[in-house]
Amino acid sequence: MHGGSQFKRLMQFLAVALFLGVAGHVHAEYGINFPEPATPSARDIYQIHMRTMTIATVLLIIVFAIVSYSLYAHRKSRGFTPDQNFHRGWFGRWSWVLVPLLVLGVDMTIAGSAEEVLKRLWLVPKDKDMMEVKITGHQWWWEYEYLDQGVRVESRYVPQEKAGSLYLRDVDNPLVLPINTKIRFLNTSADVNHSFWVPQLGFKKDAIAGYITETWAVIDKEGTYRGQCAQLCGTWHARMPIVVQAVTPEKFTAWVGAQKTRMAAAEAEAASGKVWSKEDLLEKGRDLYNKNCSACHQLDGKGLPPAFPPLMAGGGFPAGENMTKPLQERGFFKDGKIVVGPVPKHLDIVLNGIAGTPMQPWNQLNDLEIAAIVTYERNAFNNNTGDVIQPADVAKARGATAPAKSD
Amino acid sequence: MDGGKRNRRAALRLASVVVILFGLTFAAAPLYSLYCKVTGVRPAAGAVAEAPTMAQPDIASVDREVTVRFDTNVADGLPWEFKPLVGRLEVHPGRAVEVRFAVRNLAHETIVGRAIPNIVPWQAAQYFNKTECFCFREQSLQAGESREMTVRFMVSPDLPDDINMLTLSYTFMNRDVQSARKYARNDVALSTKGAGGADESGDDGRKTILNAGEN
Amino acid sequence: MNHATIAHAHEGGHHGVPHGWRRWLFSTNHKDIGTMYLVVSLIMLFLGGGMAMLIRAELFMPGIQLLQPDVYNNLVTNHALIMVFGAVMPAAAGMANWMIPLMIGAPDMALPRMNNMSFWFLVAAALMLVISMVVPFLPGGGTPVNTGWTLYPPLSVQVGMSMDFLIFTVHLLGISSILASINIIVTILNCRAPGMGLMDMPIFCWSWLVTAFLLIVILPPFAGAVTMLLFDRHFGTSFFNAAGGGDPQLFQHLFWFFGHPEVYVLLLPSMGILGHIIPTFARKPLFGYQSTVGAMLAVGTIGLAVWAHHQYTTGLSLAAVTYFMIGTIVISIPVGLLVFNYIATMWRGAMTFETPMLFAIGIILMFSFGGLTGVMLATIPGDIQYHDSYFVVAHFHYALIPGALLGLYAGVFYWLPKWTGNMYDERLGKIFFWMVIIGFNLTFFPQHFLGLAGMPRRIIDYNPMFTEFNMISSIGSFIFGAAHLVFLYVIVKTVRGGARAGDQVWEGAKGLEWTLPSPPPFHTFTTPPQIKLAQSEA
Repeated sequence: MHGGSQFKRLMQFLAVALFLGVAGHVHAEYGINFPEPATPSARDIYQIHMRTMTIATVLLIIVFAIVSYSLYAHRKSRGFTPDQNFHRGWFGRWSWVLVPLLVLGVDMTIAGSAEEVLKRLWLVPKDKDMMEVKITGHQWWWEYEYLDQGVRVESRYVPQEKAGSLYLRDVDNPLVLPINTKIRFLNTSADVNHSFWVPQLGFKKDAIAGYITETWAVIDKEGTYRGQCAQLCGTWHARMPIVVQAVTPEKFTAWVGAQKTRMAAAEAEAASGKVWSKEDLLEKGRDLYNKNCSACHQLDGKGLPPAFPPLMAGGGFPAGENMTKPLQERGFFKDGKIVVGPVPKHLDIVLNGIAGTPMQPWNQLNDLEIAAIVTYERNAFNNNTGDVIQPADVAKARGATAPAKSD
Repeated sequence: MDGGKRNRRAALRLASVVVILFGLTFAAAPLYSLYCKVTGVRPAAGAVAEAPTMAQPDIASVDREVTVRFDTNVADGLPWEFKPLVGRLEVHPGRAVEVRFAVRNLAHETIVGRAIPNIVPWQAAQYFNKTECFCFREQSLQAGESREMTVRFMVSPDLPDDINMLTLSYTFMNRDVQSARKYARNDVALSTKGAGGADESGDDGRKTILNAGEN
Repeated sequence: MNHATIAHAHEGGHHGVPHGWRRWLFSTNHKDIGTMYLVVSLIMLFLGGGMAMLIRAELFMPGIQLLQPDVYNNLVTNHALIMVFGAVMPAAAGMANWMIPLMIGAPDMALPRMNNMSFWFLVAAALMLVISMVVPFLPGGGTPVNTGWTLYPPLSVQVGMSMDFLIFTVHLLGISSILASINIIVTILNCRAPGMGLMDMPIFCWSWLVTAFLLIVILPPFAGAVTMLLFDRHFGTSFFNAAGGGDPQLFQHLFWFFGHPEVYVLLLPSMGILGHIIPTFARKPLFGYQSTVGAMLAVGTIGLAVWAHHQYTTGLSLAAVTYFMIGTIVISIPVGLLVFNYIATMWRGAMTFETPMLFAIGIILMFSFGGLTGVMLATIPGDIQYHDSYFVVAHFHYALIPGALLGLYAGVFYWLPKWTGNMYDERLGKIFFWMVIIGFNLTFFPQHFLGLAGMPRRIIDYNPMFTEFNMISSIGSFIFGAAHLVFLYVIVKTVRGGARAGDQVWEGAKGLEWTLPSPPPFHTFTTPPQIKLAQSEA
């Protein structure tokens, strides 16, 4: 047997592993420990983490030392005779009490120090007029709603071309929060479970549809903090980054004001009766289409048969009667090919959907948005009809075809 | 062989343990709802079984005001609009209050939805008594139908002093799994191609404002 | 019919070994069934391992290179399910089949025909799992199971048809494991050689007794939970559907009521194997036999009551999480005692370092590490950060690979000479050991750092800041994977030939199994053995 050389190699390996382990939590700045905390709770957690890790490292060193010594000393190759009565001595008889007591002591040290922090983390403050932000997870983006400010933000990942080194860590619209303010977060989901996690803020809460889970934080440093969805939520789980931008309360107020102005402006613009140029509509339409329609009809308008017809005219649509017939009736499918049908029917489909097919009504979009989308669809994908649909046309179509409203 | 019989008896005994445990698992659902309701940990669980609480006598503590915020959510798969008519309200604990919510079915067909209530902070849930709520029953809305729905509630005077603000949040969900699948925004079947791309127009000067403030 | 078959089995018993495919298909022989279990688990190990290789290859660099996201998620799901249900549990069951009757001096398992049934249920389950993986690629097949092995609704309600096949897989696996467990319990309780009390029993039998009871308690709820899921998917029930008054959280409770003790199901048989290997190669009896048994019982019992530490972030109340935190941390007491007893067995022994012993030492050290990160995870404030990050991935691989898988490898090297009658190649065994140790640590140690730096688990694509550690991890995993080719070669080589192994394969080994020839004859202990031999171990 080559016990000796095996042993040496084992020792060398263990030394390296241990060194890495110890180095791992001493040099936090090398990106192998938590990023720098930005809230008191994250700081508390960091301390607990360091404490338990130190205890764990010490215990591990002790175990390694004992085993190493035993491997060195108690070997047959060194002529050591086994102590057949070792387990019958006092140590053998009482170790079953001693060892658990020892471990219990360590356990209590760890649990005791965690208990107080746990309470602080768990008991969400109930101050009057505490700021509340609702975080809704969607497949696969985040929605932030500032309950008192009446501001809503949709936050989506930024593709690699634009995000560069921040790929999967950057979003189009960050969650803007004021510093030195107690904020309660209401986490919920619109579909499957998600989990909001920004390491530097020190909380992680699952978002479950139909339920509200609460967390809270006080951010005490300005900065940009990044995180990701931490609960597997389907196909694009990897593409749910979170960016929190912490700013002074003054800047936050300014930001809220700007958001409100922008939202009001968008609404006013849509309702203004303004006549839009084709270029403006196409540009708006492309963005809206990519965001709302491309999941089914695809970015290139080629659809995904048999469930989702192409919007690009000239191609076939291999699908069942239940899909092709409604299209045929509306003038969008002729002789086995997709064609661009009449404008009123197009508006009708977008506004009201097609019953019995996956096409749903999109009448929650405003007139301008619908006009832009329909204009885009009729001119993009080599459809080039030249049609320009104005918001006023949509408003008319809405009145004509929408199901009766009672209000 | 005598041993064989003994073995079979022991095996049967163990198998019956398995069967009993399998059955008990199904009892876990009602037990869990009960547990959640009793402890108030997850007030929304078992909302269906929730019965209207009897209204307590109207002894309002006039000097105490509690803010109640109203929040609405519509889960994916339900093509409805759902809004509170009032965003927030100051209420006196002990006095019944009535608020209204508006809901509209955007779809072409009748859809049944159910609203699930949540109270934040959850510790306040047991002091929040709803005497009338659209969440007690499933709501069926015809194609395009709009409806105003009422909630009558009373915050109990026993509400702990440290709670001065609570949020009543509703989530409307499609009652039918198949229908919900049909109206889901992101059908997982089709999104492998690359959904969720951010649009250029998303950056509409929000960042610019922030940066300007920093200088 | 029943009587006829029994009579037939008896005939076979008296007239030697059946031949051809009938020997295997209709086998009621514990050694043959054990061998079949081990072969199936080896195949599954390579299947699950191949998936791990694909996962690590995809994660070698940022960007999506090899796999579609849903295929990736499916691999993550099936890697876990295959390793847990296909590789580790059948391997442990195979060893139980082979060794328990030999160790307790029984002629066979107590219920030989049920033994056959539980094995073939396993094969049926494996086929069902393959169907669930293939279905999404057929027209109209829907999405693959992209939920992770936890199968959380509502995501698992979204999934296509393959989820239904997976649910049936779970049912079949459950039946298979429950039948096997019942058999093992009955064998241990009823078929010990006269004179062998429970506390004289080899520690491997004890570990399996606890495991089998655990399985019987935890598998029915799991089967029930996935049945409810099936109902929710197709029959309009609302067990986990908030819209109908259910709670997705309930599934998590049921799942982890199964899922957490399952960890100990994987762990305990391997710990039992160590309880044989370490005394053998330290040439002195197991330190603290009674306390080891007690620790195993305690692990099993406490393990049943701490499941919700997997759900700290789901909005449990302060009282609940405090209880689960303390309960979980308390588990470290019996586990610590187990590890301590093994170290104390080594202490003042006369150790030699054959491959099984090398594995045992590696296991003690690396499993201690995995256990300690487990205590870190049990501490809720810390868990808030670690949860669902790569730190968790690193932790449970450190717990389960040394704690379960390597223990089984140790068992393979320890018992292979007994099973085949041939010695394995010691040099190759050691090469395998070192490749495993280096590959394993290289794979999983850096993942702790990834988790702390903020990389969530189960993502197909990541930010460039995580690249270095992922590359190291992937390279390590390729070494780890390549090691298994050596493993396969060693096994095949040993089965085909090699130096003859005597009855007493290892100098220091004690127990009834070593009184038999290697390989043992088709039927053993048809007359109960003299029990004094076994007692020398206690």
